[in-house]
Amino acid sequence: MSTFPATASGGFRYLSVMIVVPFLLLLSPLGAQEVPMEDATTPNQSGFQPAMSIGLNTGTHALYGADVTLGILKPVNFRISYNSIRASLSDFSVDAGTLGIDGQTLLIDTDVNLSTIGFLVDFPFTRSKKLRLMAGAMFELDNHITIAGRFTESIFINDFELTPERLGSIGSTYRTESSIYPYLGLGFGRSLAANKLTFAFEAGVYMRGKPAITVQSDGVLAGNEANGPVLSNNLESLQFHPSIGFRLAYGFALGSPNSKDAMEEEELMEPREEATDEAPLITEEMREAPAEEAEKPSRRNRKQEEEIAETPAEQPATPAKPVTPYLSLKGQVVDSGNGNNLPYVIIDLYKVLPNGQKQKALSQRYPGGSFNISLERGATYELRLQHYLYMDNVITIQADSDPSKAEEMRSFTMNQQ
Amino acid sequence: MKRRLTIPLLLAATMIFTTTCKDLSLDGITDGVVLNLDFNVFRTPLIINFLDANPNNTNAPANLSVRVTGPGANRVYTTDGRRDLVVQDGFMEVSLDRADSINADNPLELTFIAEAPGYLKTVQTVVMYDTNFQFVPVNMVPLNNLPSGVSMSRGNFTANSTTGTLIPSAFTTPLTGAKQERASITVKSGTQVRDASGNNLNGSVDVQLLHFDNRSEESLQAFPGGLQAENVIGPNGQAMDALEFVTAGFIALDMFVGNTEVKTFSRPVEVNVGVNPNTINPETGMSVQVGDKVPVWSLDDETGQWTWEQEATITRNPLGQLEAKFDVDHLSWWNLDWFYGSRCTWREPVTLQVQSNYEDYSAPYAIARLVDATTGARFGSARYLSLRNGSTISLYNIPTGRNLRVQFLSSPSYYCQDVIFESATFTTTCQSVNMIDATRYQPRSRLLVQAAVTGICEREEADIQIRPSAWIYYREAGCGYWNWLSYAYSGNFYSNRLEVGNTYDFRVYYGGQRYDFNNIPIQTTSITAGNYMLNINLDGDFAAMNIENLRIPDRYCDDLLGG
Repeated sequence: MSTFPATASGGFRYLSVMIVVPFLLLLSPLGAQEVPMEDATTPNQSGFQPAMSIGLNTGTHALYGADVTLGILKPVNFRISYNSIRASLSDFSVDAGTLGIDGQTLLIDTDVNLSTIGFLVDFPFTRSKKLRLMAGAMFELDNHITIAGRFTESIFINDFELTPERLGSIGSTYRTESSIYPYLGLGFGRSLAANKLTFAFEAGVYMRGKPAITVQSDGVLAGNEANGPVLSNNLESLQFHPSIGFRLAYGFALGSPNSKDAMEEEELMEPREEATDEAPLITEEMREAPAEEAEKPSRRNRKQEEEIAETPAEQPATPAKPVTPYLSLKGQVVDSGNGNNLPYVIIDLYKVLPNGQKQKALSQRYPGGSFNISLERGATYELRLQHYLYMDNVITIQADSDPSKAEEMRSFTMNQQ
Repeated sequence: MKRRLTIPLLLAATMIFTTTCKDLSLDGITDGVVLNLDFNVFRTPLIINFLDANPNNTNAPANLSVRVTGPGANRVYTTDGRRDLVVQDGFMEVSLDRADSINADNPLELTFIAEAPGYLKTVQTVVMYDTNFQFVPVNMVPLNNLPSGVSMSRGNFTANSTTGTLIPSAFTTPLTGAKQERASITVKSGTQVRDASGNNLNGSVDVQLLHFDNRSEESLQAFPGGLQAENVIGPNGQAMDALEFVTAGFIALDMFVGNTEVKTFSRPVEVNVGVNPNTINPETGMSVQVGDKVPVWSLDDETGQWTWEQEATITRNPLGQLEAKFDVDHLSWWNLDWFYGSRCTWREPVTLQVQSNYEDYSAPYAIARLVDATTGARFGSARYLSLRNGSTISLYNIPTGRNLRVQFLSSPSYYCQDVIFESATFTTTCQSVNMIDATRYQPRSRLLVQAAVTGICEREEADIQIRPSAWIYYREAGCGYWNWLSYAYSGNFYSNRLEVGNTYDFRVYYGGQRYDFNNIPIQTTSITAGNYMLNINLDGDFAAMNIENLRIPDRYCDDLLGG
């Protein structure tokens, strides 16, 4: 939720925002294509890549449904779904004696349409992204449940025969006062995974609101319309539609093949903190850099190095086979006064370009003060550690270019204000 | 993360708990739901009200039996769907399937033959060309308590089946009360009497002769068959359109040998009927004169068939009184009637259109009748006319070229009614529309009563509410007769005839049962009785009347809902 601080407290206003955003996305043929070409074809500065999945779902919200899930804005995904519940039943025979009309059989016809179009925001909140909070709204598509009954046999009023046609029919229709149903749920299983089939279990509830039941009747049964409000009142508590369902989806990366690689990269790096998911720190510039350049011995700014190395890592870096041109920097930020880990730290990471300009590469909050970020080997970075109780700590880091070194562990301190 | 999850999970749990902790049992869901059944499948456009013709007796004839014949007999039902129409307290409500339309091409023709011990048998034919309500009073003559203008002679003579009567026998009605005309018959010697099969009868012949004069309104009201003849065979033996009679007198002659009714004679029987000299001969427009001819019609008391028999010539007897003499060779009821020859048939009715200040449903209904603008003679029975501006009513078989007026009556009962409005004169022209300016009409009561009636079938499974369609009767203060008030259509009706502060009795027949609501004051009140609850909420010129929980008989509930 931390990515929605401005709207998270707004209740329905919050939901309405989530409704509108996917709707706007729906209006564009492909929401991601509105991103400038360079963004769509190249990883952005945070390394995030748009992606989508197409899913099929079933459950109590839909006998069958289909959806498109778009990952175009970190860290949430937007889902547009069509959920179909349509059913009808004709000539179902019921003993009318239960209604006090003995010796008669009622033929029941039903027609159910609970189909919706859903606009959901999907927020993975675990490291694995497999547990997701889902919120949004369902737009009803002529939702109704209609039940109508008619008699099968004539009724004789003494010598007068009332045929079934004359007896008429009676029925009721359930609708809702609102046509928009707020939704809240939990998803178990990823909603986006590149080139993979994913399976998810999703459970939630959507608020259909107060029932608006109308009664239709004709013939002898005419005049029962007044029972509609009575039924509406009696069923007033039935405002919530439990939704338990399953979803099977296949994911695609949007944009260039590199972005697909990025998604794969993202998956390869699991499990890790969310920040690392977001920050593979890849640029085209990086990818196209000559290998020898990447393998150049790094130049260290010794002064900065001294600042960084205030607390040498206790554990030596584990030699690992380099699998990427990146170095994993694992850090822990502690209170300089008592040595305790900070409850969290906010890190802004800037890559210092050869011309001296700084390019923002990451901005992330890390619970517990521990972080794990990827650095381009040999590149220079400026690391800004922030916490509102502490003074900012800005450190310049030269990423080790040694290809045999996979990671580096460091400890950082911050002084209370 | 825990905190992130806590709120939505609590919210979801609250939602589900809130949903499931409500009473969603079938009883809970259906609590307060009442299944309404609207058995409004009949229309009841006709009520025949059998009354004692003597106004001193406001009770209907006891042990009355009524047979219904005619081409429409197989179309009608009681209000609860029975083929055999019944009379309750003198009222016979005639219903038919609402899907069975009545129109000029498919009229409803019924003949009612009514008999009750101690009363003169009577027959009444009604033809309806539309579904406008008709309330037809049939006044039955009590033989031991004759209404004014009616006199009776009873006696007997002996007839031999071979030789007939030995001596002439004459029977003459007395002059009683204000009666000024007599009727007499003379059976000549040697006359053989025969039954309906033509067999000669032997034995004592009981004779009953009644004479109805045209002076007394009670007598005119009691004319068997009424003065509107619907089923008529004319002089040439051909069927005629309906007629409006202008009568010079009527006799009802019956003879029995034991229980066998005499139908024909071997020799004509001489009939002599005194004629009121003030009678206007519609053919001359003047008082009847010696030498005038008056048609003699017979009425078959089994079929209601009027048949032109002959013309009688008006003569003056030795006492200087006018009389009509004619011979008859069969027994029947005989009427001396002129009739209006030129009529607007049912295909070209005269239409009356109301002009009023009432523009909506609250328009009152008027009890309207037609009268001759010159003589004041009535034309037909009263009709029920909506006074909503623009409403119309069609008059069938009305004489052409007559100057008529419409009168609004205070009550449908002849014995309690006053004329409370009279329209301007209009002349009957076929296929014409005549405007009846009722803008000046002020009903006696300005009160609009809106009533709702609901009945209930108490069932083991569920109470079923019935909204009855039925006629509402009421008894006005000061009038001992029950009158129709309004028709409750699916339990709802309006009335403008009730007055604030007055107390009324109401009556409803439904499901074969009579419901009485006695001593109901028109004021804000609440009454709980054994089989109903009644509430009246009076607000100025408006009163809401609700009759609830009217207990429908179990038998009828079983009929409606299955037992």
